[in-house]
Amino acid sequence: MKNKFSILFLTLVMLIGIVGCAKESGSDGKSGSKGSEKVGVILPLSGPLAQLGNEVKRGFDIAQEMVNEQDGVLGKQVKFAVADAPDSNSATSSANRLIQNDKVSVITGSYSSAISFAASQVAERNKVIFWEQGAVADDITERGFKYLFRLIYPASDLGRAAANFLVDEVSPKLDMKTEDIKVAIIHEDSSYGSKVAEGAKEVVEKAGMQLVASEAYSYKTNDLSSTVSKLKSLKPDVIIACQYTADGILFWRQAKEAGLNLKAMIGNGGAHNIPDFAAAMGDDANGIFNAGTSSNFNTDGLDADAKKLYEEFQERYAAKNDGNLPSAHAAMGFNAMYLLLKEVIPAAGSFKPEDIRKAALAMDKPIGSTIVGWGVKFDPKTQNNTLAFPMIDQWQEQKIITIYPKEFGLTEKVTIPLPEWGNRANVGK
Amino acid sequence: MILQILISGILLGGVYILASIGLTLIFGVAKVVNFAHGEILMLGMYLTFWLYSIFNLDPTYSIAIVIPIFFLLGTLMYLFVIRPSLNAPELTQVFATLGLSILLQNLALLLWGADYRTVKTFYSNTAVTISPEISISVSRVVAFVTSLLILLVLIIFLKKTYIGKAIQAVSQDRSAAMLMGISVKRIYMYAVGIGCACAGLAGALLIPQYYAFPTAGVSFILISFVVVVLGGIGSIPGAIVGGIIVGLLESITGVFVPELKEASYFIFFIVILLIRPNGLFGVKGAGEEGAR
Repeated sequence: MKNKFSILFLTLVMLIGIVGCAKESGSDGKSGSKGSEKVGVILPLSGPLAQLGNEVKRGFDIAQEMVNEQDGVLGKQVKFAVADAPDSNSATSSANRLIQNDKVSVITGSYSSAISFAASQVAERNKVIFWEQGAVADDITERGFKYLFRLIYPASDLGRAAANFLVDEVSPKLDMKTEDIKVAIIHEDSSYGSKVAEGAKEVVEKAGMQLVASEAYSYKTNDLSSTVSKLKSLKPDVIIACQYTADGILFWRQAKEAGLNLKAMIGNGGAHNIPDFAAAMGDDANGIFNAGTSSNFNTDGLDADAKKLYEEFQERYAAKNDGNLPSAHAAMGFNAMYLLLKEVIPAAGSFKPEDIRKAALAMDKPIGSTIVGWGVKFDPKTQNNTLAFPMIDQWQEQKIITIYPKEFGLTEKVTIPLPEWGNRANVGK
Repeated sequence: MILQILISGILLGGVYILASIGLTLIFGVAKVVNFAHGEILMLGMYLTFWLYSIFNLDPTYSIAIVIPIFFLLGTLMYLFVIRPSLNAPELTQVFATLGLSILLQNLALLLWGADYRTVKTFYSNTAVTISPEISISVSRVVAFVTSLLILLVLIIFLKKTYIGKAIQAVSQDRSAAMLMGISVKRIYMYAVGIGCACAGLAGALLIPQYYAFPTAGVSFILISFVVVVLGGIGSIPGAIVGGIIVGLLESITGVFVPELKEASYFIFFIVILLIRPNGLFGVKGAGEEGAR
């Protein structure tokens, strides 16, 4: 009797699990419409990276919806074959499944570098296009793959952009000699953080600033107070940080508790450009810079078509998400999917990987022609987009405001140096 | 700076004590490894978060609600997950709680999404500055002191009350306890209930410094296992000492050899197991005697 009961319960548990998964992955567009074509999607929709994986998916969905409303691609409605890949192991099997069972010729994804690295390997072997929207690790495009295209800049470019901003824009306002400025770099120790740190280090050292620390830690950590005390004893003027969400919030909370005061702080995506950061830090988030893709910038820097598209995307996202504005991850997801469905595949004239590849390599869109401000031109060797660049934002009144490059900046009022903890309510005023 | 490192190490140890005390209790009494312990802690965080965001209830007060709810949750978990697998092979027991852990993670993802939810109390993100060099995190002190108080209550409960003594008796010798007329299964239920209440409490006390998200428990569970085995399976003083050792180790190596921060306590753990296989406060055979 007892055994029967336990079996019943376990079956129930499993069923709930399966239903949950199905609901997660089955949110395709209209089904059963005549003449449809499948596009593979690999994203971390559950597990530790799920938060931003789902955000990218929202961008993909809006692009799909808009394209299907406008008669689809090459007269066919687009359907997604969605695979949830919480980590790199499942990325490999998911890519195999999409290629073998769903017979897709294009896979889009994947937000996380580890997932992208693994899944693109499978795609390359099967001569299937892998269209990467937001994974930044340098080595993804350093393998000489022929079917892999990446729209975003590599991580080391991100680190360089953050450090260049420090050298060009921040340091003149610090009232210090360049060689006296002490810089500390902290980063999580996966390929994303390490490469960003490498890029930043290169620029900082070249500019002649003092690099007092370069601290790496695992993003799964429960405590960063030792890193904070070490930094406090080194007294840096500026911190360049590359952190994921949880560790980023933890670091800044503990830095505040320890009274670690700085003249400037520049983040590189992760924690530093999502609303949860302000929710956790309140006014203390204000004044912190972030280098990365922006979704809230001055659209006067865009051309007329891109501006219109930007507005439509913002409206549709807000309508679906209780009036919230999209994050950069949703915007990059939308951008990648819309370009693929609206420009690349129509130019290719078919869904065949070879044709798509040729069309992608022939693409040449100037800066300001996409909704994230970038242009598109793939490097013929690495197949990485050469016209993607990060923008710099500053947190002001608990909102993230783009300030640089100037043509995309929303405000000229930038607060440098950073006020002390607890005195940041007036940043940007 | 040394003093600062020691203080933060001990306070971090407090966090680990909180997370592992329930685990050691369930482990020690029912001899069941509760892999879903981290998820119970995660649910404790969420409950506290919702109490805070809907009723504006401070996390420290919400423990009055969290403890009974999680005790109840624990007894349900015992009745529906642990009891049916008690007579099954150990592998089945592992999969039952492991499965529950995956289920709870995904249920949280489905219900609340993957956002990082934080609670801002008047004392979170603040610290007491003793000298320019030394500052002490208020939320950690609150968590540390509250957990010590609750532990004291728990120890008194175990030493002085009938149920407490019965729990100890069952953990020491199940057969003898049964012969003395103790209803072993009922004691298991109480132990799992109290263990879960401790995990929920840990979640409530940790949320002012951390954040609730579906996999929040994962980062605590592995360290909890280290703490529990290090201190000796089933031993509450062991968990306290183990927690503080792990906290101190992490804090000290974090400053001097940051690359070994996570590795340090595992290395120490292996060394201790070589010298004292039953942990620091362990009794020989404490982990073995199961309910057959």
